[in-house]
Amino acid sequence: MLSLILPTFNESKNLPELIGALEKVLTMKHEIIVVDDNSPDKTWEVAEELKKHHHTLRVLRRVGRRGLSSAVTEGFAIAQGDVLMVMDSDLQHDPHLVIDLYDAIKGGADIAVASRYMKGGSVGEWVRGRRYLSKAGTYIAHALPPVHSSDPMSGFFAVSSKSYEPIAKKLYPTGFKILLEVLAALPAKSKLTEIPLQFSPRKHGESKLNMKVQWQFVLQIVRIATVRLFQWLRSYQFSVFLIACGFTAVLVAPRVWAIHLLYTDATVRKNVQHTMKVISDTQGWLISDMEVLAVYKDHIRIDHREHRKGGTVTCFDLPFDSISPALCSFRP
Amino acid sequence: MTRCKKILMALLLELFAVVLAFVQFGNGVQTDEAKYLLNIPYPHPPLARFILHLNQNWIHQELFWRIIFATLLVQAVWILLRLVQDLKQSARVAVAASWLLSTGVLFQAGTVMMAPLTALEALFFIYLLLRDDETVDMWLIATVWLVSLFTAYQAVLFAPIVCALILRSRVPLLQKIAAFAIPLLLLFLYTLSNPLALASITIHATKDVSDTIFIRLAAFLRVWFLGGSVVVSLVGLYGIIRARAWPLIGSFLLVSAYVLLARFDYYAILFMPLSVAGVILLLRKRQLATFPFVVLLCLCSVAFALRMPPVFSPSPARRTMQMIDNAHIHGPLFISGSFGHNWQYESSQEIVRFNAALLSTAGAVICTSPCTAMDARSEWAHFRFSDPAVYVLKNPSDTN
Ligand SMILES: Nc1nc2c(ncn2[C@@H]2O[C@H](COP(=O)(O)OP(=O)(O)O)[C@@H](O)[C@H]2O)c(=O)[nH]1
Ligand SMILES: [Mg+2]
Repeated sequence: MLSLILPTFNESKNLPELIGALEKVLTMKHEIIVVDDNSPDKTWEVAEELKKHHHTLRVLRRVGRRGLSSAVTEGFAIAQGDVLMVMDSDLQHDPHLVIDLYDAIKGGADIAVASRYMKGGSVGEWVRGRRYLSKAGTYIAHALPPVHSSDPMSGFFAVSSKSYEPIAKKLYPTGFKILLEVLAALPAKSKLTEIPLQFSPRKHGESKLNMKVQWQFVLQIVRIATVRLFQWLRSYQFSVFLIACGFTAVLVAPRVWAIHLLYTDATVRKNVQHTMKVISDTQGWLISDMEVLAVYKDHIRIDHREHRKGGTVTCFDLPFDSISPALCSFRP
Repeated sequence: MTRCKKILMALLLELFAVVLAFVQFGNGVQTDEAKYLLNIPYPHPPLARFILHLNQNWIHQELFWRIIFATLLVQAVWILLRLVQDLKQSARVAVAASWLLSTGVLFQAGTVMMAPLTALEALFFIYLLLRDDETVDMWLIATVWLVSLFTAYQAVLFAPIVCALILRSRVPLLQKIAAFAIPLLLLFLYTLSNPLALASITIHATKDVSDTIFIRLAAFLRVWFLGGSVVVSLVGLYGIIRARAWPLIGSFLLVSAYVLLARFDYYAILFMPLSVAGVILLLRKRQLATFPFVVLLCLCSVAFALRMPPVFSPSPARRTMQMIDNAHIHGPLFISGSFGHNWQYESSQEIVRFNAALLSTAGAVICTSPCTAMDARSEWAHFRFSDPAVYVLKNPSDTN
């Protein structure tokens, strides 16, 4: 059974035409759920009116809540079908594609997307700025989730209820891009099918995509990116640990080797202590400003740093017999 | 909590953090802080201090890190709140207050020290231990364990908690041992590479070896109470004992033993994650009269704050160095007497220990302990109003 969600906000002029068109194509067992956010133009009343002739229609009127994504998840939550689908109710989405999406899910796909950005699809007559913006967002949103769609921000898609149920609780339905949210939550091995969508111009009313919605999209991207980073860290945690340890060992081990005489040779150790003390007394240097770089049989090599903020660091060779500091001849 | 409330609370917490940071800012950099801000290679491993020193040439370095550190410590309350999100509102208030109003956090948020970082890392491990979800990402825990050890040595005190977490995972024993031991081995290797760290730790830990057990106990009580403002310290300990949370009890004993050995007020914060964990464990089992608890906690914190009020005047090091800069003195500064790294942090000239043989090269002499011998040297004059005493050459042009 197909459950088709139609989120509406001020679509009273578009809804009757859309329902009429849908009735003609929906030959399978189905329900249509209009989720209206208490539209000022009383879309919900129009929908209730339509119910008289269309018995598969259900209406959910949400009072005190707004948002496309949450409207969709609430619609999915009360849906009874095994194929969950959503489309815009402003006639920008071709009702005939409902059949293709439905068949894709019935044919075994976990998710099916009507894509504007694949071969045969188009974004239609958008203003220039929005096209580029949408393209850039699409690129990031394509790469980020484990399931890669050519149009992750499409508002026209279907998902099988058995794939959707396990992830329903994990979704953050803010803003417009519920598909992106679903793609980010699905397991990487999910089967995706795409069909081309030619985006038509709006018939009546106006778009609800405003600054707030775009800002919510940015936040959504940041949130998904963070989650993905952690997922990535988790799945590669052993490598992360190994690299961290290897990196540390590579940095530290050569230094231990360079001063190993300090631990293995008692006379050298005594000489080093003596040298450090003498140099500190004669130069006024502090022990804590001297870093032993290497210990040899007859001398040590140290870095001395000036005792001031941003002090320069100089390398010295200190022979045990004379204890006159000489600039290092070469850096090891 | 709704989104709006959360954002508001985060903003208020941030304001609180900034205030705490400014309280520490008043007195200038302390000697240990200077060590970290300048990446001086002892006593702790390099990870945190390396990051801190990256912006050392920026004049706002100190304030910047104070605010970052205070923010981390204050906003950490969110982690604790996650652990009690299913409990009643009053219980959540009690937990948030335990963390935010204890002197451990009040006095140490905004200090650029390693102990608060270690406390935060411990808090992370404790969060994993106490949350309901028992899945363990063992290698991630091992990586954080490595990071915490390379932040500061005292992270080993929380080894029992890390152990407990690693033991939970379902991998072969050998892998568990590797996850626990390899970071420790690397730390040991690092210690060998830095003899100065080794020496300074020995000095640090044996500073008060000659003290009697009673002095030690008194000092331990002081540090422990300073952490949780007495109230949270006691309730927290009761909580972890009552819940028989062995890893937490183990860590508590280790931290206590460490403080008995080397007592510094700044270790107080190390008790905090354990104490608050105890409060949480207690609240999960029974009610706590939140209102009296919070009031008592506030009273204790206020009492501590009155006894140890924050200092808002610049430290002697900052004062003296500003004076020297204003007087356009150039050349190395000789300091007679002891001086910490905070002098180095404040100074634009090189500082060397007082050395009579090299005196002619000095730009000025600073006496942090009385050096009457300088008065006898006729060519050196006592700089006006200086405390500690500063001596400058009477007429620099004569000495060329
Ligand atoms: N229930 C509900 N539907 C919404 C909301 N915002 C937009 N919609 C519907 O979502 C669909 C797409 O919205 P639209 O403004 O046309 O976005 P655009 O096509 O990207 O410009 C339309 O059917 C709108 O009626 C909302 O806040 N609540
Ligand atoms: Mg539209």
